Amino acid sequence: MSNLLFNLNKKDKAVYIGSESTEFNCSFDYERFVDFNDDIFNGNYNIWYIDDKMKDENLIFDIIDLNPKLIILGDIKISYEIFKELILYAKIKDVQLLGPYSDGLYQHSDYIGTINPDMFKNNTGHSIISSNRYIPYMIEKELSWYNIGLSYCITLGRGENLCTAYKNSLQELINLKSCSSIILHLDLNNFIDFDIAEYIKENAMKHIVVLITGRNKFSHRSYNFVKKFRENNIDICLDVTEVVSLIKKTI
Amino acid sequence: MSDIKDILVELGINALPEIQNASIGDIKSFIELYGYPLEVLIDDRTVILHDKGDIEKIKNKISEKDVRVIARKSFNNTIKLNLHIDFGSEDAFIHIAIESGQDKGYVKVHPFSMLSDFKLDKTFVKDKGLRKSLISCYNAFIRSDLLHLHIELIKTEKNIYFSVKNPFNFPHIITKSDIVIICNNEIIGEYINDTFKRYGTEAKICDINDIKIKSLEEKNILIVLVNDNEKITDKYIEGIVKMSKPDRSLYCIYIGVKEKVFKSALTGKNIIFIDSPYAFMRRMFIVM
Repeated sequence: MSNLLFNLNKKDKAVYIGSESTEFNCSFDYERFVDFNDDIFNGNYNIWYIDDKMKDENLIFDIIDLNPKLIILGDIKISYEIFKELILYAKIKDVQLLGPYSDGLYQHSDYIGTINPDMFKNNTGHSIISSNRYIPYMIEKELSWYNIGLSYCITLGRGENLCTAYKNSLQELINLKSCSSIILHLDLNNFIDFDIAEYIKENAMKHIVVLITGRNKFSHRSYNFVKKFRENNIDICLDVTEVVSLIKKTI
Repeated sequence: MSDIKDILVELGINALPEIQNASIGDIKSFIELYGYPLEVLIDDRTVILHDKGDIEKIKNKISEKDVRVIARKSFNNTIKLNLHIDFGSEDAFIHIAIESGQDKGYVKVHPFSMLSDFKLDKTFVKDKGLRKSLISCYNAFIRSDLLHLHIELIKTEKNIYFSVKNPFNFPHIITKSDIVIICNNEIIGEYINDTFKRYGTEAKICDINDIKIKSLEEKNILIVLVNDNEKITDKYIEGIVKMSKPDRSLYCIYIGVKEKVFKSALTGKNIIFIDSPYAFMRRMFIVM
């Protein structure tokens, strides 16, 4: 068991691709590139920020060839055809992809993406997988009333095509030694693994609390998911405050 | 307060998240309403719960005999509202019968939960506005300690209001569409609205970067900002100052950097800072 998400440490190479307007935070040494720059190929830095002015989506394949450990796709659009090829190529090259529309990840003091680490003030081993960075901040704030908080945060991104599905990121957190419980924020606007409830039941060695949003837009889908989680005796909540009371059970 | 919640959770009330966020008065009325074998003593800010005896008795407390009509009202001789609560002893669900014109139907709701549009069969209450009003009425009842609700339907060109009066003739209006959530993130806005919808109402969501001040007049406003960027804090303060008026309070949930700076900059601007959407709802919806 590791203590780092995606086994990512400061010696590893990681890339964040996002828009120029997004403020970028990172605890690693990095350089901001306004345009896709030759320097990236010279390997001057471990973390690269790449502006979405990339005119050719295929450049992402060139980035994969540089063998970074992780590529986070920020607010960039990728066509479905490229997306499919990207998933396949990254798998062959053993490169982890996150996004698109991911805000990055946070683990204790290390972070990459647009997440602000200062928002996480109580590192007590709890973790969250979410579609955006704001829900984790709200949960951290609620947890802080009880002097507990989040140590890990993975933002998966939004849309029907996610490079890292909920199931994969869940496994990532289950494998982390210092992660005590997991909040899984399922946004019904995203692709969600159909068998996620059964997967949790079979693989959860840690306390997992599921929070579902987007219920009004997808009420029928919501009903089916909630039913499945309840049938599998998984803690499910529809509200941030409920998350807190369920997380408190593990303390 | 947390002790009370723990006791309530022990009793199985975790199925009702909203009660965990309820005020002391709400918890008291809830315990009394459902006949929990607990005695509630409230002295200023202290709440004492006494176990009256065997907690297990609660399981047999609700029986089929507990059938009562909680509200009855005719609207324009066409729609008859007949909320009828029947505690089913076997499945512990409430069956609510609603008659609308010639149509009859019922909905099954967990005794500890609020009614929502999703739960209500849309075929027998076809009018969306009325459906929402019925939901508001039911939820108001569930959240109050009244046995009978005195209700009145007021229709205007734009809205349907459901006026609910308590025995002391102190009217409260449950509104349908005059709440606005101003937020800086769509998902957060939807999440807050989700909470409202569970109580049978719905707010309009506006982006703080795209608000039209004139359209906000006569509205109840909840500002929800989750801000992780110091650079835009001043911009948010500026936006809220523009919206503020001395004769109208704005409610604000702020989670973010420079919290002290943010709050002190808005001192004297008639902004009420709250921690959760429930605090806003208690002020807006509840019949007390």
